[in-house]
Amino acid sequence: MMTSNVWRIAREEYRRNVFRKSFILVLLSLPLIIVLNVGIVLLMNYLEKDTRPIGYVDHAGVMLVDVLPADASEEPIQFLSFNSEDGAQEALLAEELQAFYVLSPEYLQTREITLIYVKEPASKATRQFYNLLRVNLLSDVEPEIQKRIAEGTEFLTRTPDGRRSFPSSGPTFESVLPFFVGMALMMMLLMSAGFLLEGMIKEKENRTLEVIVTSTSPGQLVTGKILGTLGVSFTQFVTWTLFGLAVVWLGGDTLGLTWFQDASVEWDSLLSVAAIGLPTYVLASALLFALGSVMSNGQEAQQIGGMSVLFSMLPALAIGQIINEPNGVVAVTLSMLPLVSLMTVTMRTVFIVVPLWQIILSSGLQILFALGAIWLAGRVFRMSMLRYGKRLSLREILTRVESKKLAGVQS
Amino acid sequence: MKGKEKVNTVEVNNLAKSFGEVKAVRDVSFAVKQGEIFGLLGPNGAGKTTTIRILLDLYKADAGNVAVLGGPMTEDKKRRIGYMPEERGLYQDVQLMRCLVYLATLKGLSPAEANQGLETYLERFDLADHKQKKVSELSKGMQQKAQIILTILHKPELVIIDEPFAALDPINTRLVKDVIRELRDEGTTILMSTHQMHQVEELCDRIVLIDDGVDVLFGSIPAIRKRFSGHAVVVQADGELPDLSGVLQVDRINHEVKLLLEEKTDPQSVLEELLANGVSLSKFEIATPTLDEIFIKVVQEGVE
Repeated sequence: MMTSNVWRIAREEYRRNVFRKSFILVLLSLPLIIVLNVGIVLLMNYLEKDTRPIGYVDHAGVMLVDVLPADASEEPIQFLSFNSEDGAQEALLAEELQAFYVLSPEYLQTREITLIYVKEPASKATRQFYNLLRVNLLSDVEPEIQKRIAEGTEFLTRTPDGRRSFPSSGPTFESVLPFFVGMALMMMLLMSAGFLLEGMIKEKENRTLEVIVTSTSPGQLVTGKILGTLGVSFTQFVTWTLFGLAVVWLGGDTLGLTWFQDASVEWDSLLSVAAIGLPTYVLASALLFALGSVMSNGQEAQQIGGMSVLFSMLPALAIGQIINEPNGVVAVTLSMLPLVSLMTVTMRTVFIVVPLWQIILSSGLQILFALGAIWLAGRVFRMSMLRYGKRLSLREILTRVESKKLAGVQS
Repeated sequence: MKGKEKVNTVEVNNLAKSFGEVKAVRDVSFAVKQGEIFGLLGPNGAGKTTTIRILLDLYKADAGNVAVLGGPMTEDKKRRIGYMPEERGLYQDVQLMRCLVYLATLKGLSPAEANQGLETYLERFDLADHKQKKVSELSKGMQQKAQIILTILHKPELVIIDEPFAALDPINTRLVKDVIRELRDEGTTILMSTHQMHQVEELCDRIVLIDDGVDVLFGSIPAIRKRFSGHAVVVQADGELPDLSGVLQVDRINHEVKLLLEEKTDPQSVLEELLANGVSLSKFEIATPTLDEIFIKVVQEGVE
């Protein structure tokens, strides 16, 4: 019966928040903004799309082929060879060309190339021309060597245990994914904090809480509300993730995101973040619930709620220390502390594989902190629930919680 | 045959509760018997709502003790109690039916039971046509009726209602009174807090009057009225009344005369004097004060 009330409260909290206009607006706003931005970019690309060829005048005699090897990622540009600059100039003025390049006779010594244009060509055209030039310059070597030289120098940095590597192009998708998942959790908490606090203050104001607490215990109420809010955040997370995946799979080619389709996921790191992130979420929600019980006005509660969530992002201030020594005392200590552990661990995960014992210890501690916070929130709620329009001071909370504990011991 | 003594559903002994410097309840004691309608009366700020909230374990008492349904309040007992606070507590932005079903299920009813019971009550309370409306779209009186339904839907053993008639018109007041009487007849104990003395007189079996955090009157209504009677008689007679000894004041009210007696004057002696004077009486009765009058007397004049 007690459990059923927790679920009923959670379900009602979920329904009341999810099926309302403001939430649906927030839920759809991010995808809509992305769609709008992408749409604008695509539209601009389309409007600026220039399919005319690029010309070149090769005084150096290095351009033996004028077709690039097929590349599925980009629409090829046609290259036209001209014997003289006058001919190319004429074609340019007749708007038959986007632009033309002139390779000086001393090109091989000086690398001098001149680009002539009326309107500067798109970067794609420039990139493809230089690729074509590279192919021509390397025409006498093996295709594989040709390809390797074209790729350029690659520095790969590896951690001593070999479990993390960093290409010079930046961290890999799988190594940064846990960080972004952790950040997404914090952002969702920040957003759901508003719903949680607004709901609490409303229930206090319209006295619904008085009816509810004569039907169920404060502990059940806190747990139910936190689970409901968790459900709300999960809905946001799943919706946005599905939207992201849909964008990658459906529009990957158009948006140049095909690399995303092949990205792998490091599940152990992701699970580590979840093991710490979920209790941290519950902990923060319980503290916000307590805050909502104490506050007497919605606006004030939302402001303080936002500040308290920002507190969990404090490890960002120690980012230098954490990057330099991801297994150092500061990083490990912060990984164990309530609220800040999630961000610390997600930052460390980018650079190292956090030892399993630290994940287990931190997760266990966060669960304990979360349970403690639920207990505290129940107490604070009980003390303040019917003090309409009056705020409970921190001193009052501490004194009363302490006296309750003593009374509990004596009885 | 000796009647069986009814068990007390609620017992309150020497209750005290302060909020900072304010003493909301100083010393309140009373007991509510099983199956009676009990009135918790008092002026604004007397401590009625605080007493109710202590009963429901929403507040902890500073001193004294309460027993509800045979002992201290527990989580399990919450389902055996129906409570309607003075300031109504329904979700405003939710459909009436959904709001009531949710709150009723928290009291232990299954959604099916809640739906079934609600259909009957909503029909009876003339709210069936409004069940799909948002609570905020309902009038104050409709919301109050909905709250009353919610309070009794799960068939509680103890019903605690704060100002049940506050926003109701005469027709709905009668309806609620009928429902309260039915509940009493079914064995439900009702603790009712109200300012409307005529409703109390009509409904309640016993009352407690709280003033300034202290119980100043407690007992059955006839006993309390009797306690405050005896100083006046109402007489209806043919012709003028003679001068009577021991009478302080004579008030004519329509066809009746109210004789306010001196403290030492016995109503019996007044009757004898009237008869001795050959007055033809069609009515002679000891004037019992209304609860309103008693309330004012006790609260304003401090008479106990």
